[in-house]
Amino acid sequence: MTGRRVAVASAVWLAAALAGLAVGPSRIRAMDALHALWSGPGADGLAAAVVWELRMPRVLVASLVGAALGAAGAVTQGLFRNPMAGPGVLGLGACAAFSATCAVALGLDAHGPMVVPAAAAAGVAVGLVLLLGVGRPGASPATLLLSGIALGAFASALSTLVLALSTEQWDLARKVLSWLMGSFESRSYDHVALAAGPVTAGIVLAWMLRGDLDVLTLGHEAALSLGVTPRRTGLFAVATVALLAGAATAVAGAIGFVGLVVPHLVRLRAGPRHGPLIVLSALWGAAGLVGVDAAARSLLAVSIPPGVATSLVGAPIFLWMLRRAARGWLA
Amino acid sequence: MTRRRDVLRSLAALLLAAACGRSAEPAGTSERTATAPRGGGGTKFASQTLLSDEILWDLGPQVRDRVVAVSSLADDPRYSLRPNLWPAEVPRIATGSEALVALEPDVVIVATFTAPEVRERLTHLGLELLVLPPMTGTAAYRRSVEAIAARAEAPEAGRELVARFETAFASHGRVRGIDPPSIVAYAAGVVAGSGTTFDEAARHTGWVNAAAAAAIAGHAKVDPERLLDWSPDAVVIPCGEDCGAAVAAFVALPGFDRLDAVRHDRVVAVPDPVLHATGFGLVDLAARLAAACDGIVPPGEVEAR
Amino acid sequence: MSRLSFEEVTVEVPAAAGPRRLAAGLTVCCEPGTITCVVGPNGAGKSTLLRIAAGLGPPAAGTVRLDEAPVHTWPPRDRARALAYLPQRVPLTEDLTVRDLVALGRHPHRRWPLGTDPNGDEAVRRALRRAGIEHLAARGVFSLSGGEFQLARIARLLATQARILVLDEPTTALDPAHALAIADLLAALAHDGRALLVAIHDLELARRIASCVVCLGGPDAPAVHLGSPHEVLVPEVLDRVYGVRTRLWPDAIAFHPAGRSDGGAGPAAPVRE
Repeated sequence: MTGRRVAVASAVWLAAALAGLAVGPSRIRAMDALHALWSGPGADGLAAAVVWELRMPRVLVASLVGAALGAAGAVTQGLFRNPMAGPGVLGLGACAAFSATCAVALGLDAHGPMVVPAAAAAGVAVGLVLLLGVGRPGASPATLLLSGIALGAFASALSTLVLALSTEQWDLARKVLSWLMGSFESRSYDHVALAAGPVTAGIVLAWMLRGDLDVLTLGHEAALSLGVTPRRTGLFAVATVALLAGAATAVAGAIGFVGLVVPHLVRLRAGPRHGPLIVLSALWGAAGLVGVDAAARSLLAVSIPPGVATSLVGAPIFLWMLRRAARGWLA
Repeated sequence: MTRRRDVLRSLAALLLAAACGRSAEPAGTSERTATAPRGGGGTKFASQTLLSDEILWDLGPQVRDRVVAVSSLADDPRYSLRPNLWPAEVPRIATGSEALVALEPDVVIVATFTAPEVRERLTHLGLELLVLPPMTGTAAYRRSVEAIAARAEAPEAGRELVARFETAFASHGRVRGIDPPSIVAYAAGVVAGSGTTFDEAARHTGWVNAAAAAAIAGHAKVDPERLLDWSPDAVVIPCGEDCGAAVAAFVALPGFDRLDAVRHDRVVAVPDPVLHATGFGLVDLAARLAAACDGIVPPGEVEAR
Repeated sequence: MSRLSFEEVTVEVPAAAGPRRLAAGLTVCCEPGTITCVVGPNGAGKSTLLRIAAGLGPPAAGTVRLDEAPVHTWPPRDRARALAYLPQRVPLTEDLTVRDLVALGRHPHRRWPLGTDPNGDEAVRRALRRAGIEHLAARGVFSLSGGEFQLARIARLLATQARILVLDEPTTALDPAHALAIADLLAALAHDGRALLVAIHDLELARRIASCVVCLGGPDAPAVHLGSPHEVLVPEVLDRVYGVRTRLWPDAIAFHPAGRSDGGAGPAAPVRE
């Protein structure tokens, strides 16, 4: 059963990726694009450039980001046993945004396209150290959750402060905003390389945590009696989420809703066990983000940020889901 | 009139009370300027746009003396073509600030993009607003000059300035035969389509603006794929202090090494204030675009319009 | 064979005015094939004692040994394979199937890093069969009755293949039929050779299944009443500990308010189920 679900999700992702490679704002025909894909990256001509230089990195970055956010959401919801938790509740996204804002405000972004991603990744790392260090050592998941919310509020306030103090820089707010909205624009293989390692490692770590997360659903005492230490699991899970969400945020900015909605939808179909949940959330996250991005790019004349597209698609789905769930409980 | 004075005085008092918090425009400045206003008689102007800063200066000493404030961006080299043009004693005032009101101008020059609530408040305080038209090209510049000159009762100076501008701008006019080269202005994913200053300058100097040809109006964000589609003969990008680095960063963007403009080394970096010029800087922009075009189409075919 | 032995164990709970001593000097041994029942009024320290027995915390004094070593010093995974603990019932947050719930008991057997467990499916199947809930295997836990859920939780304990089971109030809030079914299951599990330590409210059930009874609380605390059901579950002990008047019948225990004289008839008539 799980095997079939994985196969379906992989097929959907592959189809979305092919669609993302075949169609886009360029006037080249889909068949030419697929032919260029088949011919390999060395070929000359417009189609090869568009497919291999622009669309391929974009599709790969969207896949990595979607997979990372999906898996991170599944781990977060499992750890905190709170259906409303997403990777954002740890406040690490806000830390990434703060350090990216600082990098832009200091003008460091002029030194190359990878400076802001690196700053965002550093922000996540510092946020993680603060989260685990400032709170009591070995804090419980509930304490981590509250510390994360406080950390996020603090980092957001600092970002706003930097923006408020930099009124002289007109385009700072524009640059920061465009980063906050998330983007796959002009993403290169450098971005793919930056994200591939942490995302792969994060998904493997998440998958290895699946049993512990399952046991945590029994409650604190029962988990302890089964040899699972909730605090230790919490530590590993938070580090995993930081790795996943940090890599995603670093290469694509803030992209909302994927980490929250995808694990819920997967849970509805595939049940609450974390092994399938993590793998399927990663696959559906990748498929969803690539698909939404491809659809937005080929159907709309204007270019809208993927964070906006995912929220526009995700929020109604989520509301529909809540309605359905409420009906179920009332029945 | 006395009511307005009262309003202004209480505002000034408020400003003094809150003085410590406002480092950018200390109340002391407004006090000094208020007691010893610049210029003897005539209408006093406060300029809130870079374009009106420039026009007021170019209208000559008669008008200059009546300017009590220029915009806060006047000295910022990233936006202003002529920083430090105005003497230091003319205060630089941010849009809609209380310090502006304390200077007691008669006319505040704002733009259509000035926030409506700011305009509303200035009007409410009894100040006359002169709203410049949307800054879309030479015609808008001419209208702006004429409007300011008329209000400053110096229409002659205005006509002179417009004539000077049009002669200079016309000197860069080019016609490039039946197949003119194409160009795109590309700033962080945003291109300038029809109805922009760039579009006019490009067409004037013999280019086809590829973005306008693709039915893009105004400034719009486009996907990098479309730039590859258009594959213009030249690309204009803005640059700050290091224009070489800006070109290198553009060329390094994924896929852009396949652009004809990149292959033939025709990425033209233009300093930010020039590329976004709305006033006399348009002449500079036209000169740069004309020179770039002369490099593509042999000068023999070039004929002045 | 595994055994769980208490040596001079003291149970304390934190309180505003320093730790409060609930039980002291408890020495008892849970042998294979026996059921040791812990009884006592609310707040007497039954759950605290069971937590200590499960190795989730050290006793205030004395030692609880699982085989040779103090139970709280065992490596958690090794301990989880030797001793299984059923906390008081808490609602699940996820609608697992019964089979998945029972399979969670296999967690300490899974091998790093791939989580393989060659005997897992077989152990889960046997646990379901032993608890008599094979027919519920594919049901979601949210759809179960209280008694079925409790059986599933006990099957989760059995899946660990531990020889020592520690259960905190497994029959509380169940109707008499389900409570009896659970009690019979516990007796059968002990008969298989497991050692059981069970905190229980229902003294009738305790008398029915216990090999040995530990009675905590009452005015004698922290002293502990310890012995066979016939020695401990008698009016002389229960009257003191619970502060009520107790009457004992061959298969029932009846309580009356301490201040009220027992007229012999009326409400005192023992009723079975």
